[in-house]
This record gives sequence, C-alpha cells and structure tokens, in this order.
Amino acid sequence: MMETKDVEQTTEKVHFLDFWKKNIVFVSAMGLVPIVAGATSLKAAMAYALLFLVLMVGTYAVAAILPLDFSSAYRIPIYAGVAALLFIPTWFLLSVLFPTFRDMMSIYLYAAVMEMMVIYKADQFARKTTLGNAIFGAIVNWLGFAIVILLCGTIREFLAYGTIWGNTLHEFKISGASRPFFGFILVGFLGAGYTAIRDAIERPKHRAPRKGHQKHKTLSEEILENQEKENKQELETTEEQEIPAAFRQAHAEARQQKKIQNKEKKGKNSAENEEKPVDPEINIQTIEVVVPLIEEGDGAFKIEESKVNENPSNDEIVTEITEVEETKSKNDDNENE
Amino acid sequence: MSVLAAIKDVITPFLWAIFVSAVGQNVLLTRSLDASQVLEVTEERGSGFMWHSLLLTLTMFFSTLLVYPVSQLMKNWDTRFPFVPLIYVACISAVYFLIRAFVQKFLSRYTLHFDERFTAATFNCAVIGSLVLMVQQNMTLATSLGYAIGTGIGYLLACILIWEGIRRLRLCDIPKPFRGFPIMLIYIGILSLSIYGITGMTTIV
Repeated sequence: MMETKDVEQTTEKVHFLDFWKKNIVFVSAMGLVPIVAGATSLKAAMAYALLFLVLMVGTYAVAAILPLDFSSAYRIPIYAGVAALLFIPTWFLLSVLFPTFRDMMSIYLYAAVMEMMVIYKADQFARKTTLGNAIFGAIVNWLGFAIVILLCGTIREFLAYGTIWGNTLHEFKISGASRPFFGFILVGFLGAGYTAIRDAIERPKHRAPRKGHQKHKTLSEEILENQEKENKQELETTEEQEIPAAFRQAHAEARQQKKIQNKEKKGKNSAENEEKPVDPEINIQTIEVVVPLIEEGDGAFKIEESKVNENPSNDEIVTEITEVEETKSKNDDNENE
Repeated sequence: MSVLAAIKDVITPFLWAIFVSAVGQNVLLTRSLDASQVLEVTEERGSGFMWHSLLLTLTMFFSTLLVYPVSQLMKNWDTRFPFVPLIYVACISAVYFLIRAFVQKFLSRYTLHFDERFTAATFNCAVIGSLVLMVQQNMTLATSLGYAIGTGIGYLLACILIWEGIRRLRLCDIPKPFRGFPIMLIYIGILSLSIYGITGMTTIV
C-alpha cells in the first residue's frame, strides 16, 4: 500500500490574491460541471458554493494529513470517499437553508463528490503542503470558484427566468440560457474577459513609455545618461584627431586628379567624333552588307579574300565605315564605364 | 413469438439506450459531465483520449452491474438521498480495485500505463453522474447496460470532436483574450447547441 519512492514535501505558499491570479476555473479549467450545468439560478449557485466549500476544505485537509508515500492508487478513492461522507451533513444543512435545492440541482449535486476540483486538485496541491496551508489554499481556490459560479448563476437566472433570487425583474425569458450549451459559451466569454483584464493589469510593468509621456527619471539615471553622452563625444573627437592632415590632403588631390583625367578622356572622344567627315549619302539608317564568306566547318566562317575588291564601289565603302563606327562606339562605352 | 418479444423487450431498448446516450444525451455535450477532464485529456498528444474512453466504458459497464441491484434494494428507503454518493462511490471503488487486481495479475506488463489512466477514467463526474441518471430514470438492467456502453461511446465521440477542434483552432488567428481555454469552451458550447438542435430542448430518456 505504501510506495517505496521518496516524495519530498514542498512548502508552496498560497497568497490570498491567488483566487484572481491563479483562478481555479479560468486558469486550471476545474469546477466546470457545476458552473456550466448546475448553476442555472443564483440560489442554486449559492448552494453549490456552500457545498464545495465543505467538500474542498475536507478533502484538502485529509490530503495534507495522509503520508506522503501513500500510493496514488488509494489516495483518489480515499478523497472521493471523504467527499461522499462530508456530503451527508452538508445535504441536511442545505435542505434547511434552501428548502427546494434538490429540484434545482439534480444529478450535478451527486457528481460534486467526484469533481476534479475536489479530489484531483487536493492530490496535486494539498498533499505536498502543511495542514494550515492546505486549508488556506482550499479557501482561496474556493473563493475563485465561488465568484465565477455566483456571477454565472445571476446572469443565467436573469436571462432564463427573468428573475434574480426569485424576484421577477422582467417577463422576457430565454429558456436556452438555462441549458449547458449556454453555460459553456458564457464561461468562455467570461474567461476571455478575465484574460483581457489580467493582461491589462499586468501590461504596464513591461511596456515602454509612450512618446510625449516620458518616465520621470531618478538622479542616478540622469547621471548615468550624462556619462554615456560624454563617453560618446570623447570617442568622436578622438576619431577625428587620429586621422593625419597630410593623408587627407593627399586623398583630396588624388580625387581631383581622377576627375581631371576623366574629363580629358571625355573631351578626346568628343573631338574624335567631331573630326569624322560625314557624307550625307552615307548617313543611311538601314544598310544591307554583303560580305563574301567561306564556311570553315563547325559553324565558323572566313572572309573570301579573292572576292574582295581592291577598288570598292560606293556601297562597299559604306560597310567598312559602319564597321569602324561600331568598334569605336564600343570602345567609348567601355571607357565611360 | 417469444423471440420477437425478447427483441422488443430487451434488444430494442438496449440499442436505443446506446444511441440515445451516445448522441442525444451525450455525457459531455448535453449533460456537460466531466467537462474539465475532457479538456485535459484532449490536450494530450496521441491517442490518450481513446484509452481514457475505453477504460471509462469498462468502468461504467461493471459499475452498472453492481449499482443496479443496490439501487433496487434502496428503492423503498425514503431518506436515501444524502447517502447516494457514498454508496455509489463505494460501488465504483469496488469495481476499480477488482479491475486493477485483475490487470495486475493477468496483464502485469500493462500495469504502469494502465494505472496512469484508469484512476482518472474511474473517478470522474461522468461515471457517477450517468449512474445517478440511470437510477433516477428507472431504467431496466438491459437499458442501463446499453446506457453505460453508450456513455463511453458518446464520451469518445465528444473527445474526437474536441481534439480535432483543438488541432484546428491552433492554426487560426484568434484574438488574444480568447486563445486557449475560452475559445475551447465556446467551441464546445456550439457543438452542444447543435445537439440540442437535433433533439430539441426536451430529455429523451
């Protein structure tokens, strides 16, 4: 019945605000059965809240008392048995406080003894802590659960029956609000609201200040900033001083020389272009050239010299000039580049 | 005639109970029993929820065999209501220890994997809630057993739908406050609403 492995006892402290920060419903996703299905009115929600207070305190206390090396196979049935035993006096208490609670709660009342929040949470948390801490943890967890179930019970009663605590407020009724599907959707939206509020509360700690809303600086922060500025200025001045003046002059002269050379080159090219005689007859846009060629094989060709005229006609001269112009223009492009 | 009568009296209610408890009175989507544990089981990777559903069906079946005669004995006891959970927990615990002892003796190599799941599959709201429902509805033994099997099948169907939902919702661009638990509950709520659309707002069994 006893497990041989050692289990260390942890002293995880519970804070009162954990009912919000670590809400058992929205963070641990426990206690959904009574909230979603059972709490269809504020009275039912109140009855569930009281029932769970007794069950949770009882099982958490037993979990803290049980030896740490007690086998897990027996622990859960023991917690369920303790919850079922505590259910008996709570039943009579509830029948005095809420005479019609049996009609309100149906099967979910009995299912409470095996709710995860009662037996599994006790095993996860209370088993590893002291008795006092376990009872305090049970109350904190219950508080988180009670707030959610009372809120859900109120909303659902208002929508489903048009009443709150049995007092009629309006005649318009949505019968579906008392069904589990509405409970799921409602808890889903409440969970989203919880996450949004929690994030909004926690966000300013991590967010940078907005423009125009600068954070008030302390004296030590100002001193540090001034020191950083001074260090930056020093670095800049030393960089300027390290470069010798002679080097700068030489660099500037070299630049100027390069510019002059480029200009001269451009001037030569333009002069050569201007010197060429332009024959108005030759200045034709489309020229067909017929050059006598001999095929050498493998796609290569050679000019047939025997057919080249030593005394060419006007058309043949045109071909030579165009070839020369093309080579010149190519050379100019290369130089410019 | 006797065969027809047997079909009419036993087999038809048995099959009808399976169908009703699996679909029309789904343990999770209609009754919302064990919603917390379903969310936990379906969050796991792999086929954990299938084992969970199988073990839950097993527990439900044998617990029904034990609870049914006990509930018949308690029928005339007027002040039985506060003691119902204690008696049912005792019956479920007895079934739990019997099955566990059987597995340890004959299927010892599966004990480690079995222990992890079996406790969670036995001690949950779905088991005790369905047993209470059977007794409240004055079902016969055949109908109760059908209802027990159907509960397990319905649990598995709900788990598959939720598991697939979780998988797909992870790929969606959901507003930050709705991510995780809230969107899952809204998804289950819409699934539940669709079943109410089939069955109406009345209870079948």
